[in-house]
Amino acid sequence: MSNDFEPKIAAFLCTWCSYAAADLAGSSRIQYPPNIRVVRVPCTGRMDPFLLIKAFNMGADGILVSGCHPGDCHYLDGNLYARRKFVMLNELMQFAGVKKERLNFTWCSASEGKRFADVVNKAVKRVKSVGPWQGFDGKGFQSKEGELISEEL
Amino acid sequence: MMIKKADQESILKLLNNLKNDYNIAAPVLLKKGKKEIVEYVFIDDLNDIYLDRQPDSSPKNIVFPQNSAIGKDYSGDKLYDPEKKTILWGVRSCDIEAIKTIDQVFIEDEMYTDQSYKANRDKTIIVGLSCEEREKNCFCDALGFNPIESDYAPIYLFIKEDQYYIKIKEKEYESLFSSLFDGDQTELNELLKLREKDFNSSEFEIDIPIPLPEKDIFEAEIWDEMSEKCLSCGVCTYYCPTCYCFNFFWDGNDHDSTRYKNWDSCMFTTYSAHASGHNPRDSKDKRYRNRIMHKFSYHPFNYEGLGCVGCGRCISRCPVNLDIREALKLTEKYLQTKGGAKKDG
Amino acid sequence: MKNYDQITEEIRKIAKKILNDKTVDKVIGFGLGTINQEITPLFISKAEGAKKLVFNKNSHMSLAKYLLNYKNEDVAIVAKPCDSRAINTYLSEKIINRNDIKVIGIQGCPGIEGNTACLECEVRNAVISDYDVGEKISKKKTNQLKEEKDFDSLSPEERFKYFRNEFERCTRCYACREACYVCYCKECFTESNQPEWLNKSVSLNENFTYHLMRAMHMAGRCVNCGACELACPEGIDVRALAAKMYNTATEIFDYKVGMDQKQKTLLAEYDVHDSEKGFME
Repeated sequence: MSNDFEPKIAAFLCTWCSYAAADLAGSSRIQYPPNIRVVRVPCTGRMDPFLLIKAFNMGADGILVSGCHPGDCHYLDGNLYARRKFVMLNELMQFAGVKKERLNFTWCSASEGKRFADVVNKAVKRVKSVGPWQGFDGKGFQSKEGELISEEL
Repeated sequence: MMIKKADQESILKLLNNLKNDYNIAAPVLLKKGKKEIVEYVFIDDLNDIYLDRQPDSSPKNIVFPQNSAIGKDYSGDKLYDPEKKTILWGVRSCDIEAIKTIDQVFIEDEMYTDQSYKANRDKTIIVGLSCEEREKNCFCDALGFNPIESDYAPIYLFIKEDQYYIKIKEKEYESLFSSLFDGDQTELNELLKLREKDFNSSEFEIDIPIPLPEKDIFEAEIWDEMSEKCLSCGVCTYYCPTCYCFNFFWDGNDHDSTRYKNWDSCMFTTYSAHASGHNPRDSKDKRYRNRIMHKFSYHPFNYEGLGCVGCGRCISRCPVNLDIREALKLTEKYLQTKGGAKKDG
Repeated sequence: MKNYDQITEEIRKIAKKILNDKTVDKVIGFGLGTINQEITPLFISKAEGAKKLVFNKNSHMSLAKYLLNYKNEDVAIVAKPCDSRAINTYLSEKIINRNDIKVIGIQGCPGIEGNTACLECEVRNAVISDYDVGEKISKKKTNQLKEEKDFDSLSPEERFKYFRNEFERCTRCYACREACYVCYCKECFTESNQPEWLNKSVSLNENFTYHLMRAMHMAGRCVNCGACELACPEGIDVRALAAKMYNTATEIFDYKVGMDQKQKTLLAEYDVHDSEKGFME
């Protein structure tokens, strides 16, 4: 676990709130670490838990899911369905031995640019504390891929 | 031909010497969760060799591994050295016949030769093992195979308590066993005679024309009844010593990928699915029909011999006890009532 | 609690009766293989065949799955308590029609040999039945398994290692999937190539992913019957993940699968005051 480890975090953000919050954080010049790779989803209710498992399968060091606060869903109750799924997924992954620091679920509304930056900061700190994800087989992922992606950035 | 005789200790000593120049694969009793399973694996500790019962998995995974990267040499096993030849120790008659069946398709076929399989096979020396008694579900003698000896293996073991008789049929392998004492031919023959007498004849007998007449039974209504309880999992094909279907695919990420060759199973719905979405074998009776017909009709038609060697693993390992013998009985009955049963097909 | 032989007798009697008076066309039950005398699913459509029906200590298959082959046909099914919950789930998911099926429910199930799930069984009586066999017993929760394999006391690393060891052996024959009553999807995620959830290669990474994804599909639908584990030819502890999902549903959401045919599945409904266990603060 070296200190210069920069985790890759797959972030699934709801387009109506957290994605807008990320925008707000940017336009308000609030700094947050560039470790997240944002995937924009129409609603956290759309989030198939498989996407999160697949993220680990493909080498993400951690995941971040952020949607509207309960009660604020653009589609009324999408995030309420999502909440149950995430609780179950969280329990499952932890049971299977994936450290809880890699699994980050939270709510973040469109006006919470500051909070979004805090959330990302915290998530990155959490994932950093458990080191690189070595895959389900423990063999690790070739760093080549990570380098290429960071070059593109 | 040469006969050698040895006790267990000197056999282990011999194998220990051979280990320097050969990979040794043999049945080993493995504790897997709650189950104890005998499987063919590459071994280091020769005391692990377990020959007391029929292995639960076939030696297919040694000559034709489930998952192999194309262009790489059977990389899965740490104990496997691609530079060395492999001695496949203690293979029973049914599995030897099964390897023969796969050889027919991948090597002896006039049109195509599977180079990766051939490379594996050329490096493999099969050492056969004579069966002493019938296992619960096996029926190789009912299909006309000899459980006591198969001609396809160049070396054969006959074990009586602690005594090993080794029959070496090919000259090139005689040097391997030169350190052992010579055995007596008549002594071995007597053992064989005794064993043949003791081998209780199968309760299961079958009288069907080989190859099965496709046009008589393809449309028959028996398949539904046979496959009613089938779950469409791949257990029977994965543990079958003769099933050789495989599939190619890429695996990896955007920057690095490998082409793999993997076992496939005709019991899976996707096996025969077309890209268009059409699936000619869309229900389990059709898939099960294909399995039976391939073993007893198409294979015998295209090559010699049968596609099934009667090892009984598909029966013992099936989660719902779907019995291939019952399927054959049903076919037999159907053909007899239809008057289509002729011995020579 | 009645024993296996008594239950077998009662099943035969009922099967004979309902086949005779044409209440149903077919009875799905357990029987013995004609050649090796081992337990196997049996489909009886003539009253004379009813005497072939058996229920013994090895009757581990989940027969509920076969109901899907007989949609819109009148069939009767021999249902252990776990199977009866599976049937309830099918009814609640509107996969089958209540009017089409007759359930021969086993009350006071004596359990299946070698099935660790039976030690955790909470119902012991069929929760849906048209004909009862056996006699009802009071619920008694046994926790023998917990002592044998206490996952809670293991660290995440130890659990990770345990599951790696287990899933390393997986050959992806999909017997666990096919034996499971939950897995009736027309196209399984393992076969989907758009998106490709899973690579086809049999490697630990893919095997682990497969089992996690399958367990996620089990969430709130698994009845913890243990059919997957007994179907596995490699003796993998397939049930552990699904059982975790089952227990989590009970602990966090107080949800029990298949107790009522009108019950919605766990992930198909919500409560405004649901727990947010494990969420970031």
